[in-house]
Amino acid sequence: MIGYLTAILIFVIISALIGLALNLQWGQAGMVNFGIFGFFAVAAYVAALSAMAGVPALVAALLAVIATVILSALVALVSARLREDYLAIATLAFAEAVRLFLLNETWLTGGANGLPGIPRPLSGVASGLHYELMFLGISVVVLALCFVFAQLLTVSPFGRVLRALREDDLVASTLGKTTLSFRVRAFAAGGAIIGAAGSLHSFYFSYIDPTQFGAFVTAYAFMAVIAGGRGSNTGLLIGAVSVMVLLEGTRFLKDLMPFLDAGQAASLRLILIGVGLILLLIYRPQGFMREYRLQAKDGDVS
Amino acid sequence: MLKISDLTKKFGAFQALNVGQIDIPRGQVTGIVGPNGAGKTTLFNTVGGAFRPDTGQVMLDGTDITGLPPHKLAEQGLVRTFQISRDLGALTILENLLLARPGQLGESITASLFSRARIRAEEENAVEQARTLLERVDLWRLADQSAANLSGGQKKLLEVLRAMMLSPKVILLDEPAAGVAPTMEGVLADFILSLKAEGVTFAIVEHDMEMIERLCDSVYVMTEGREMMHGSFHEVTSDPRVLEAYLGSMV
Repeated sequence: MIGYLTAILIFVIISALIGLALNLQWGQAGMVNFGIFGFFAVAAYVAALSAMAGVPALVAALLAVIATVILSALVALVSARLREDYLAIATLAFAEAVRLFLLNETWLTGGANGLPGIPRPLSGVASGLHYELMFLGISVVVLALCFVFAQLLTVSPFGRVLRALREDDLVASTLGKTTLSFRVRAFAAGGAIIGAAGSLHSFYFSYIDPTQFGAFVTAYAFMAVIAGGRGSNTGLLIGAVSVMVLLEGTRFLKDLMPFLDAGQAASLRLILIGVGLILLLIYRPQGFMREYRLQAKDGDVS
Repeated sequence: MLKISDLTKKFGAFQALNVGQIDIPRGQVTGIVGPNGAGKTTLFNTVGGAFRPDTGQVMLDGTDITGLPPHKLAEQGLVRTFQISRDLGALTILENLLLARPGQLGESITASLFSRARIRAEEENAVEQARTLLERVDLWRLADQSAANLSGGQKKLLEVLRAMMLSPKVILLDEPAAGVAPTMEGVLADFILSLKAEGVTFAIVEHDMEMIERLCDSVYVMTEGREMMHGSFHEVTSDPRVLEAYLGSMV
């Protein structure tokens, strides 16, 4: 049971990281990134291939972060004039291109067979459940660092410009803000967090293949951001946990209702997830938490 | 201060703008009036960087600013407001003002992460600047509320305040009185005049003739994309050509 919980917590952390990135890109800056799973895949493969080539885990993760930062900045740059739905399509196309690359460039990525045997960091230090717990600890640290990173950006004047851009980019540019520069940097900052998420994913599973990086990754990330309250990093954490509780908790339906066969239980599970989302959108459309707003009237500036 | 010469803009075959010469003198409020479709907002959009002109020149204080994008114009000291208020509802009223402050260190990612103390000091200065402006129009008491909660007139005030955070040379006001309650119109007019007294230059597109009379040192009348005449409010409103083109429909 502890092993299962540890695994679930690591999943939650990885999906919370992706959610944090999306919360910066879409939640705050208003840039729809449907292709987030493509960036996630790039990060995972860069980390995996570097680690397999003998690069230390930390450096491999750093390479993954650099790769996603550069790619995110490039995608934001070339789609500079696209907004909302068009950007969504462009990012989706990017993710599809990544998927096809991973499937077909077998010499590098192993194609549909994926990459087995990715060396896990610090695997000499502990083994079995102890290793799992240690990996959980590392993941918590990574999440904490990324959360602080995102939160510092949210409360800074940088975050203020992002929210302004989301609301009305013509106003922001009339007030002297270079919209392109902010968009590119917001997208790249989100990319950095995705880089960390992809690295954790590779190291934890030690086996990756293209099916792990499907559109469902994007769907869960959007669910977490919407449930948490668009723009709020704290809300995002709550959202990511809720989504995972819903997804994983419904697995136990079969035990609670032994009269259902496996097929019925699986269908009921999907129905419950859908109902949960609809209820949330009806009763709490703004999400669990409100996004950050400066409250400075009493002289408190931070 | 702002000199517009031979400015033209076509949309397809339609000549939306064909201006010969419009001067907005320093420290004055210059009105631009005309019937609907006369090209007033197109003029602001073209001067304000939303459109690039086909030909012509716009000079601001001796600098050529023709066709510059809005954020470059803001750096040069030219800011515009919008006919339909564009408040940023996700930001508080105070944040709307803070946003506009130029040259903020905290807009850099690395500074946001590593220079927190300097950003805090900078923010405190910015809050002081914003507070002074907000107190002048009695909006400081609402500083921490969402800008979406403001009335139509307060939103127009907010747009002017936001522009003032940039310490601009020229503010283009697009129909400041549209959608504003009569009592707020007076507040708005008084505020614009007090800013004028401090040396800010304004160009105003407006349909409300009382507002024009009250604010403007001189008035341009536009029809069909060009300036038809220029003069004081009384010269303009008593000119038969203007009456025919514009005021005739109001009798």
